[in-house]
Amino acid sequence: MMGRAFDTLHPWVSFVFFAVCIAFSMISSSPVMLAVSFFSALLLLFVISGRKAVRYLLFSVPAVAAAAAVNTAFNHEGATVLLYLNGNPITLESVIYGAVSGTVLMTVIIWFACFSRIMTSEKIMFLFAKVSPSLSLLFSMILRFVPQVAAKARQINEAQRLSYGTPAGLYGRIKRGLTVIYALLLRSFEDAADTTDSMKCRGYGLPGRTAFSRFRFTARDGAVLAVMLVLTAAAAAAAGTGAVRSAYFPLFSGIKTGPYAVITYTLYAALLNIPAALCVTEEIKWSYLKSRI
Amino acid sequence: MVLFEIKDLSFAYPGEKRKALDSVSLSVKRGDFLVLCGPSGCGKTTLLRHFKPAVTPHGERSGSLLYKNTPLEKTAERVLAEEIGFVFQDPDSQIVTDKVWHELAFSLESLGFENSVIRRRVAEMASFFGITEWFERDISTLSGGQKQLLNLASVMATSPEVLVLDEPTAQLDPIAAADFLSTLVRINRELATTVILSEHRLEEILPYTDRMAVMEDGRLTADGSPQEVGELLKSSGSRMYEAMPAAMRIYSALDLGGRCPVSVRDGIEYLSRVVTCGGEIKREPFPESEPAAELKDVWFRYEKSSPDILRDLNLTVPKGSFFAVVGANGAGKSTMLSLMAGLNTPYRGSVRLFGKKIEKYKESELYPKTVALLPQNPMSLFTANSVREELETAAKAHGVTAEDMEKTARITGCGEFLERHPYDLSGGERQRAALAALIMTKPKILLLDEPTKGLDAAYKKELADILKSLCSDGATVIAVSHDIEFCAEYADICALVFAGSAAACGEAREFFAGNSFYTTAANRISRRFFKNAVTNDEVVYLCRKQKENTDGAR
Repeated sequence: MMGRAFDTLHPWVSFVFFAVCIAFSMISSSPVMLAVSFFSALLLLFVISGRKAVRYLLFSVPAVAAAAAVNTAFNHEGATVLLYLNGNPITLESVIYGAVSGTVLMTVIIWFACFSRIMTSEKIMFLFAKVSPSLSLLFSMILRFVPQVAAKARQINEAQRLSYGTPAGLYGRIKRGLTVIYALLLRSFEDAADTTDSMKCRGYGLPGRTAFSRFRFTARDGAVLAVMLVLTAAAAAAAGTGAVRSAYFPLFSGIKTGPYAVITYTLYAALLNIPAALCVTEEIKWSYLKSRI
Repeated sequence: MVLFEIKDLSFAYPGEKRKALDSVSLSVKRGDFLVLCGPSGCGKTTLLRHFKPAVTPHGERSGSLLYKNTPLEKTAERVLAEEIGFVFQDPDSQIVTDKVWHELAFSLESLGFENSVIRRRVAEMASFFGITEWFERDISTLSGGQKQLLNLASVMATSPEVLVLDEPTAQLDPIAAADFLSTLVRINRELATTVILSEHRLEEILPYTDRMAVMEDGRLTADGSPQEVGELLKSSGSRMYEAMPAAMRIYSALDLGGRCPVSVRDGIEYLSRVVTCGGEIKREPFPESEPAAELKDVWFRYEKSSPDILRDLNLTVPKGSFFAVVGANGAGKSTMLSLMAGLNTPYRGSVRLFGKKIEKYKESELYPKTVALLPQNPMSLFTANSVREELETAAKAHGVTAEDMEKTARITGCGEFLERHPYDLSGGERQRAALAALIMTKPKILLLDEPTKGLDAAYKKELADILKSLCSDGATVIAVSHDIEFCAEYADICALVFAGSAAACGEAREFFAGNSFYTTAANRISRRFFKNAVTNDEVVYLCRKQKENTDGAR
């Protein structure tokens, strides 16, 4: 997996990165910044999980088209009328705005796809633990509980089928479902009592509980975080000059190309591609080391 | 140094007259390895739970319990959590978190240790217990044996003085159980951790211990070395004697004096002193009969891309037989049962019941008159609030008369607990209730998945009697089991499943006599001297016959 270089960052660093990405993608109105965000997200997903990223790209095309179509059908604002349909104006601005909204949605979805691959349950638990150790433990217990309950439900269902056959009709199926749920609840309560005993035996409830984690904040994490924060601040400042602000109604303001706008785009692209850059650099280092053997 | 000093401890559960513990006195020294045994419901668990106040039951109590010379209830909670470790029977339900590493850290987190300390201890535990390879894994991907080893390791993380274990191997297969017990012996030998263990598998553990105690009806009836206890049990005619290792039982049945052997090795040594080679058991073959179930060239996998679970499996189960299937974990035994029950369908080959393909049966024909399956956990069957209600529901659904129901309840011995809730029953009682619900409809084929799991020797015998009487009424019983001793003693025909196909199949005792490793302790002890002796009784019979012959010749 090429994403290792990103995966091994400290959870807080990864979390800050995703928070910044997703926040910028949702706030910024500039179509260029949106495009930068979309393609950066896609690139990162490609680096992390390979060809699966292509599926997201292929799915994006109809999704954006659909968003544009829906927006055009219900939103008749905008000055540039392309044609009239059933007496309603179809405007260029509303087509563009729809496509942009669709892209925002897809961008956020792809960022979350990256998020779910990098932020494993262990990392999320670690973040929770800072806020509340018991919340983090609860999270872990739920993750343990779910596959267990599924397995028990299957066993009970099979046993019922063997004793009483497959139920016929809606009423029969509902009745069977309730029977299985009832038995499942009983068994889960029974097992939960055991779990409680086991927790008590191992000192749960004593004051001063700590939360163990296997993460260490290294110099590398510090460096990456610093670069990230500096780029975020700079990009925000450059965007704050208003150079990239775009309007869609009544007239689409077009693509901004002033000097401050270009600086904003560059900084933004650099920020969003930090993880991909880390991964690619590491990959190159590997090939270099291998070539020396 | 004495760790635990129990004096005249009596205990009764609320609202019950019968004492669960009746003036028990026991002292445990540091470094002891104490094996506590006794039939189900004798009070073992109640006694063990008294060693750990966090799980001590509520009720009426008298007598005293000292830990390091202070009353246990006055010992600080933190000390108790750190110094007394407790491992329960069910490997699954005592695990709290979702990852192996997190589970190992759980106790240390509770005690509020620093991250650096926890990291070190967790690393130590993972190395000592050999779990580094699955350290990162999700708990749900572990086998039962791995889970129980993890439970032991996570309790050991606080380096406790005492380990208390309540039948920790009851739910494990023999290989995993032996692995677990040998780890326990290692902990005791290398770390001098005191171990208090309740256990049914005396064959495996007694050779390594110097002390065992027996409980019966809430009383401590014997306490001493395995040899002393064995003598005592024999002279008192206790039914616990059935549970002792084969070597000890052969020794005391022969009653020829000398030192009492405990392990298989000592048993062989003992036999070589008292008998010479020669002697054979001859058996009647199982009568020919038409097949009840037939698996032909069966291939099966759960998903298209997953590996084959069954590969070219061929088995024929004769009608009216008690057919046992043995084999390692993951060999495909339970999957085979699910195919015979029609829960899964092979992608190649055929499954026939009484000559007719299983898919040709209508579901209403199949369940429950033709096949019934007792799942590994009988609790999957129960949905009602009392055993009686459970049986009545089943009786009504399948048109069984009230008399027949009462009769089944009587045969299976459910009479005493008909009014109780299924969850208030012990393991053996649950098994009985489940069996009653299944055999009430008189299925032609009864499938059992690990029927002896967690049962004591006495109940195993009762179970075998029930199954045998079903067979003589014409039913066919197919049991998947790890319990070699049980299969050798009671089954008619036995098959070994390995890597998805039948590696061997034959009349049960011939089958085990032909194996050299996968066989009973009695056979391992006697195979150098006699041919075909598989059970204790057979070995004793041959020894006696030889003695009579030599005495007669003289």
